[in-house]
Amino acid sequence: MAKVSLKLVVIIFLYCIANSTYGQTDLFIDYQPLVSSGKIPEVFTQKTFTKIENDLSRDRGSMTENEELIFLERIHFSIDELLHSGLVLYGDKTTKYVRKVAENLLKDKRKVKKQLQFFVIKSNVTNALSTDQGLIFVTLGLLSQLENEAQLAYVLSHEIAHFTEGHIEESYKERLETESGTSYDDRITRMSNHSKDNELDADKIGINLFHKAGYAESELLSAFDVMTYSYLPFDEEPFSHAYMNGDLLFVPDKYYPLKINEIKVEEDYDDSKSSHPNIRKRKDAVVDELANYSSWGTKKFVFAKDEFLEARNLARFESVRVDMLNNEFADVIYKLFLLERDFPNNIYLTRMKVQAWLGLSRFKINGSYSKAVSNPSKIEGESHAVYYMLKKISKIQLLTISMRMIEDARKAFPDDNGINQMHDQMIQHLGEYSRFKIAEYSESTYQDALTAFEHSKAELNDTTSVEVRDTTVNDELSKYDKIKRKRDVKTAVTEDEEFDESKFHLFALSDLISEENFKKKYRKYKDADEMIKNETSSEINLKEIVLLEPVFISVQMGNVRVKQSEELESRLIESVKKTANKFDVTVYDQSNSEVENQNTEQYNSKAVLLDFLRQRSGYGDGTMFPVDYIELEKLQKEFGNAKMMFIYGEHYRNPIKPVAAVIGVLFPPFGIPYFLTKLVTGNRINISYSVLDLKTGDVENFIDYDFNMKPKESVLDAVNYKVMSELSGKKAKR
Amino acid sequence: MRKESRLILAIIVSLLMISKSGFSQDFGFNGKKNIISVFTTSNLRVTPAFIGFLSDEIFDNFRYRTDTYDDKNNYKMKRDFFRVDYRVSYQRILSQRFALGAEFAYGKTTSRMYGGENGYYDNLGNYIEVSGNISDPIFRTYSFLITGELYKSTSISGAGFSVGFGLGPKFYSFDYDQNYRLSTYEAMSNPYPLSASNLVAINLFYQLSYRLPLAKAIFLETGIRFHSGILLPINGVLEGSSNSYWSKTEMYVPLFGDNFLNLASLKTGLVFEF
Repeated sequence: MAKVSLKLVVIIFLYCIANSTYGQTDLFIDYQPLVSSGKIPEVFTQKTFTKIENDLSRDRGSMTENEELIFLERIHFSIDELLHSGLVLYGDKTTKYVRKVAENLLKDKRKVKKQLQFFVIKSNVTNALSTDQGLIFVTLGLLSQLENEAQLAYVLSHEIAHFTEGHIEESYKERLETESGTSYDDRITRMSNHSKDNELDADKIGINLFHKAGYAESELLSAFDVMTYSYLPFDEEPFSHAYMNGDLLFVPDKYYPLKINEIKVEEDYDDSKSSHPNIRKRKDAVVDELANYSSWGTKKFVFAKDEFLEARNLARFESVRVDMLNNEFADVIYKLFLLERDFPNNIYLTRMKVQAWLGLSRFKINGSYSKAVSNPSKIEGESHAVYYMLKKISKIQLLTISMRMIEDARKAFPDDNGINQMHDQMIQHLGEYSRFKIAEYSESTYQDALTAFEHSKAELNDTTSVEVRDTTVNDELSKYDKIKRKRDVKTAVTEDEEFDESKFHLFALSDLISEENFKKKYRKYKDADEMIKNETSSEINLKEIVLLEPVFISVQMGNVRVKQSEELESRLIESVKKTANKFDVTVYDQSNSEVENQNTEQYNSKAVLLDFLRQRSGYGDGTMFPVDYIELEKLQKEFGNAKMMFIYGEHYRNPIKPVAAVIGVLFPPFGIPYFLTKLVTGNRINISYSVLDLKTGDVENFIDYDFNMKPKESVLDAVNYKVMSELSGKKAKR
Repeated sequence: MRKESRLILAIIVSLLMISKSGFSQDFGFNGKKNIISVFTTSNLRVTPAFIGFLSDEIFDNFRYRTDTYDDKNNYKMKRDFFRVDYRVSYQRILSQRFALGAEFAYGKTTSRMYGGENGYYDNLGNYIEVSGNISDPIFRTYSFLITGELYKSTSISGAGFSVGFGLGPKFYSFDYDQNYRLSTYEAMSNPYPLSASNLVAINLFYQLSYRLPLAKAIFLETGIRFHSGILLPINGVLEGSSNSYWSKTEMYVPLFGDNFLNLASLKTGLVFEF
């Protein structure tokens, strides 16, 4: 009996440990970015126009035939852009969790349940949206912010209500604006918007599902808090200065704000000019509606809390990755500070930290730092401290801190290939910056130098003050140590004989500057820098390309022509393949042309490549280390030394107007110049080809064309011919 | 003619040599570097308008009038509002942005005799009045030009927009096939007054063209050509003339103006690339 009890205690003990160190499960110890899994849903593989044709049969009494076609064209175009963006997850743990919670809400509504599909979007926007076709999307940003399952359940109830009540069709006019010219984050936000009445309606109807599932009333209102404060990071914890400081780095307090910017958001903001109600009005309406319900449940969780926590932590890990892709490094650092409390010494988070500091250095060197770190005065809440500090430190200080952080990461994970590569790249950044001089750096630590300064000052001021003077320490020092100590003190002493805190960075690399390997690499990069600058060759002897889904939009009178755009994209892909063959360039097609045959593995590969492209777009011409370098390395094994090609094209059509044509025929003096002008300017194509190195993230080539021609097959062939000729440095096979 | 033909051939061969030895990449529309254009340039005849303006006869048909006689000696007044030249050119794309070539043009022009419409001065200086309208001299013109074409770096060489230029001689050849008469009833005693090959102009042009692909190798071409030229002094041209139906000066001025003042023309034609 005693033995059994002991065994039970051990099991309980182990269980408790397992729970207390929840984050240290295999899932997070060796964290892999979320990818889709299972069979690819049909909605991802169907052509846009097939969807439109299928949907035309649905009854939409309030619309004329033409209105319905325009509605379907625009709505499917927008949604398919999202589905093909690589941002949507299916079959992964977060999606499965969302679907589980939703299916529980719909357990008594089989018909609705059958009509709906649930997906998660890799975006840090806190939002959810539903479509006319029964697709409900939840962002990782939303999942990362939630406190419990009940809050998610209410958000889902709200979105389900939008679908069942046909709100999407009613408010589609607002979504027309979402088509182009904005980021996916903006589009997600705008696609989720409904009119004031529809929002209030969905809030009320959603309560019914929420109530039936037995969730607690209090959590319903708290879901509105999630929305209100969704622009803040997923937690509000004072940024500890100790997070930055270590054995060798000490960032003085003067680099942090004395006071954090207040959180100013109001629930009752003026919504008179907005099509959407403010949170206060929505809350009030919900409270009124709650009066119609009784016998509330008490559940915050219908399913195990651990499942929620796992999904939320996955979302939080991903949220860091998404910020990295968007080059929002200050947010990354603050979120890492939050996550590392629960996940200390986590290799994935460490890699992210290294990437963030490397990225900051890159942007600083490029002179585009303000793109990476927003104005701190606009940042509310605790993350303000990070923004403030990053803005306050100088370029040399930033580079030094970055080197320090990366060196510490390398020491923690010396065998990590990625960290080692980034370490090298950081040394390269130092080599590129002419004002970084190893000779200026001290071999002492900041604290040692400060102590030495205080000693020397005390000696000068009061030679009798034996209490201050640490004779034992000083006596043990050799003559040379004493000289060195004096020199170190001098490093940070001003003309007024005061210790200068702003020189803190000069003590942060005391271990590295004496390391031969570091010095050797630094010198190598410094010497190579000039040589690299002089290299201007654009020929890259291309042999293999990974062709990403191109974007080729046909626009007429400011409107996107959906069917024509889809046809153009197909024509372009075929042309690239055909032309590449003439130049013996192998094409790995990751584009949409094969969408009907696509499987999940290909979908995930494409998502990685698209994320890589997104990250690249923020860097301009500068060197970049890819966030998903591990995934990209896997793709490199698959594709060999292939370069990634992304094509973006726009076709502007300015056709002959019927009235002008009649006038032109009747009055040739007007007609001849008019028709000739239209012949020449009636079609304009702007098309650009970006070729990127999957390994380094460098833009190997960027070719841009702008000409007035119709995008006929022969024209696209000619453009691709020129591109392939330029990239391969070869002549075509005859 | 033979001389000029040899010159053009030499240019073409040299272009092929240059492009083979100096450039390795494929330029042009689908790698096609050879461009043959068959086209016309047409323009309103600005010269007579200008001269008409000077003589205060702005809207008078006279400015666009050429007096001719048909085979049956019937008087025909031609109204030449437009001038059309027929041209053929060959160009070789040498780089992404540049093509070099040669152009040959054929056209007809007239030297309107403003003063001598109804009379002339004989060799003795007597003014002889005639009952009809004296034929105007008509010339065939042959131009040979060295041409160049520039493309935008963001376009496809050989297609779409281009900027062109050219420079070369224009030879005037008196049209002997016309029925030159003083009137329906009176032929010219010697209608061969000119040693016309001595009449030479140096022409140059600058043009904006647009080539619209119709098929893989065929294009429709249109554009505006700005041109001008200097007709070299006419001394010696009328040597050997046994009549003075046409005054030297009156012949020179319109021909000079024809070159110098017809400043712009519309270019239309077909282009073949290979």
